[in-house]
Amino acid sequence: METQRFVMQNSGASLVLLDNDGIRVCQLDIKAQWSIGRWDPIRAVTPDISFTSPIVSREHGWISNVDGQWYYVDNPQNLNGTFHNGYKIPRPMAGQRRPVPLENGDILRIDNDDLDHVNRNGVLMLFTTAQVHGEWATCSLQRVGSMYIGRDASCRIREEALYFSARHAKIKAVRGQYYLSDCGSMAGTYVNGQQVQGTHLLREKDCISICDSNYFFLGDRLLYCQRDREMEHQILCETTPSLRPVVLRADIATKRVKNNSGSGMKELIRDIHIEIKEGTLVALLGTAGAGKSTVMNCLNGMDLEGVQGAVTYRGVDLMKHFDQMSYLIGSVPQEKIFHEKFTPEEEFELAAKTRLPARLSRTEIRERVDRTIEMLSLQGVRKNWNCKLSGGEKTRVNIGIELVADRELLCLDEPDQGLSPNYKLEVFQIMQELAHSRGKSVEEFMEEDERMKVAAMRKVASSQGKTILSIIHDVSHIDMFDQVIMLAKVDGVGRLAFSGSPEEAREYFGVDIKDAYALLEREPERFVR
Amino acid sequence: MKGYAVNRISFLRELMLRIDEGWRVLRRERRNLIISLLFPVIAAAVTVWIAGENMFVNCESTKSACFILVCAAIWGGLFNSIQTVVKERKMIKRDYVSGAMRIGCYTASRAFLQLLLCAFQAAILCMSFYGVKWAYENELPEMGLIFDDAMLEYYITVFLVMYAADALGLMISCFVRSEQLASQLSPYILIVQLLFSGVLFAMEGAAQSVSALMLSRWGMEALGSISNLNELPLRLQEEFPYIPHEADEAFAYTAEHLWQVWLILLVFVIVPLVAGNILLHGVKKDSRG
Repeated sequence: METQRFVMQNSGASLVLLDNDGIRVCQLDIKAQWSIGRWDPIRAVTPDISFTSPIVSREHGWISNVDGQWYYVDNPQNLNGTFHNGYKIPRPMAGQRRPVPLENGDILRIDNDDLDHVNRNGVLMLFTTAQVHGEWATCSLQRVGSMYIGRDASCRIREEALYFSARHAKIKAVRGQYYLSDCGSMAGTYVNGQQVQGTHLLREKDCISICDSNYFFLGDRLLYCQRDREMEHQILCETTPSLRPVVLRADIATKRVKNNSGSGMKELIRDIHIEIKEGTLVALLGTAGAGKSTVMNCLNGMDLEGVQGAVTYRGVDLMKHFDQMSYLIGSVPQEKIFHEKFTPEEEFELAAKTRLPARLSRTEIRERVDRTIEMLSLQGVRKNWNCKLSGGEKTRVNIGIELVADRELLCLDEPDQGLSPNYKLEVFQIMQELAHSRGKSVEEFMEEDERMKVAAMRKVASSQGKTILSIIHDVSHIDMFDQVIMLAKVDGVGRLAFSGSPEEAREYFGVDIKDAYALLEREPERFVR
Repeated sequence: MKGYAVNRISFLRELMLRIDEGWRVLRRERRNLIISLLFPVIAAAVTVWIAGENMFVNCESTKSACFILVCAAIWGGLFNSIQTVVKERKMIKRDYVSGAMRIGCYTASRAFLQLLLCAFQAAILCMSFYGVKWAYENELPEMGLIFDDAMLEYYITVFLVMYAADALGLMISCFVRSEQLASQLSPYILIVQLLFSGVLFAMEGAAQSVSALMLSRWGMEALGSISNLNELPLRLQEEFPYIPHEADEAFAYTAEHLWQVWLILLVFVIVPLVAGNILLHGVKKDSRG
């Protein structure tokens, strides 16, 4: 699967434009090149992205997509030049053009040479690839002593997503300067990819991130997208898995690590291009040594060392900002990682206490633990030590540790290993329910008094399905999965052989999926894309 | 934040949870716990048996007894902790990466539990002094250099040596990635500690500087000072009383010297714990999950 051309790509790229006329959003994916300039009524020149500001030249620059990568190209003839992330783009030599690659969150500005003294006709363009539904808005910080971002009704910027704490982050004005601090949230607050510890003095163009929500500091206001969670939820519920938005995307050219002797490099995987949609159950299959665990550890962000390419979850680059998203991702490794001399009940209780918000009462934690035990059919052994459990029960305890924490993306490495056929089916059914049912358990996050106030919000928040990616070996229940990803080993390197629904897989290989293993062992080159 | 519960559990709450977790692990690993508690009993018995007869009677026997105690304290401390963190490394990575663990809480909880264990083991080890009195009716030093009770000073010294060795073990356990490697490293550490203690060989030149980095040397200095080794007669002096006993300034019988050595031992406790805490953050880079 080589790099796709523009027409095939839906990157979700858009340009948020901010000038004296207000905020506009330009969806970039509909064409490959966009001209940027000033609208001139006399010459009747109308650029694709037009401004009325006099400091913008008639032909100021272009936004172009080449092989899926967006670039900004500054016109050397424009009068005032352009800033990219606070740095003026250098003028190229005559006749040359210097494209600037754009990444999610990049800010382009047309303004005075000194950004500390901005022009009132200045123009700001925010490049974003986040596929969200909502309206862009600004929140003024002027004449505000301090303000909060969070789920609580008293917050000036109120968010509905469950990963927000009641009061998540605080911005305080002190003598004309603005200081950001995290209010001890579970998911953390990040500025330009760095976690906020203590207080952080905000500088213009700082990007404040809370998981996949971003707020851009513009000196005296915040620019952010007011997400319409209800619409996002409605889309999720009404669409079939294949039409849901992509949440996890991997474009891995290669992953290389040191070889066993430490003297050279060994390539583990190559050309892995995967898209995983929200609320789907995905099976990761492959022949022995095809790199299933390697791919899994790239997709969940646990091991991205030596990767060339990109892995994004909800538009956020996990290679750069994994910490920011780690609260949303749960990983269940193949090895049984738990305390041998704990009972499942104790193990889940500890996991719940350390993973869930502190505000949950003892009773709520107890209920959560009880339900996890019930879901995993561990009632009969809840008081037994983990080391005394059967292999299948140990696997379920391993899953339960992350299950109790209610993550958004759950990555399981061979949960079916060592399970008897009926337990396998049971575990797959649990996974399917988690992905397809609409997360009934999350109501617990709401405080009693909050419930009445945020009834509508709860409806939305409690209906998010989980995205579950799992390496499995037994394909007898493969039709329970929405998507199948198959890897094959070619010349000792793991390659992508197929990605699609189980029906499409049967069609692609021309045999049943369990027989496709033999085909991939025999002639992997035939199927590698 | 008045009126609003913050969402992430506080450092203190997490610390309590981790202490509870570690305590349950320690308590339930019964075989390991029994070995840990039997070790100082055996070490104390060996001290009484091998070097007890002339302990506090002549300088050489007292020095030998002190050396056995220091070695036992280092050995015990190191073996208490060297597997503690490394055996839970995968669990630490999973919890730390998913935001369910503060490394600081984890290391502090394990350091606290090891402190309790060392405090108990040091008390057992110090029973050897009473063993000497009981078995051979030797006179024990009564007055200490700092406190009125020399036994308290012996206890503090043995505890500090043992806990410093324990902290060193924790640091190694935080750094290495396999239990096997941790086990392989420990004998080397012990040998180096013994060689550079200044008891087996005279330390001169560069060896003197290396010996300054050894717990064994400072442990010996403290125990030697409390025992007032410089004032105890040499074995030869029993037959030839005119032979002079040259005082060794390492065993200076002053409160200042003992304070100084205790402070150094405290540094040997703090530095590895802080370093271990920093090193354990590297768990994130472990290749497999």
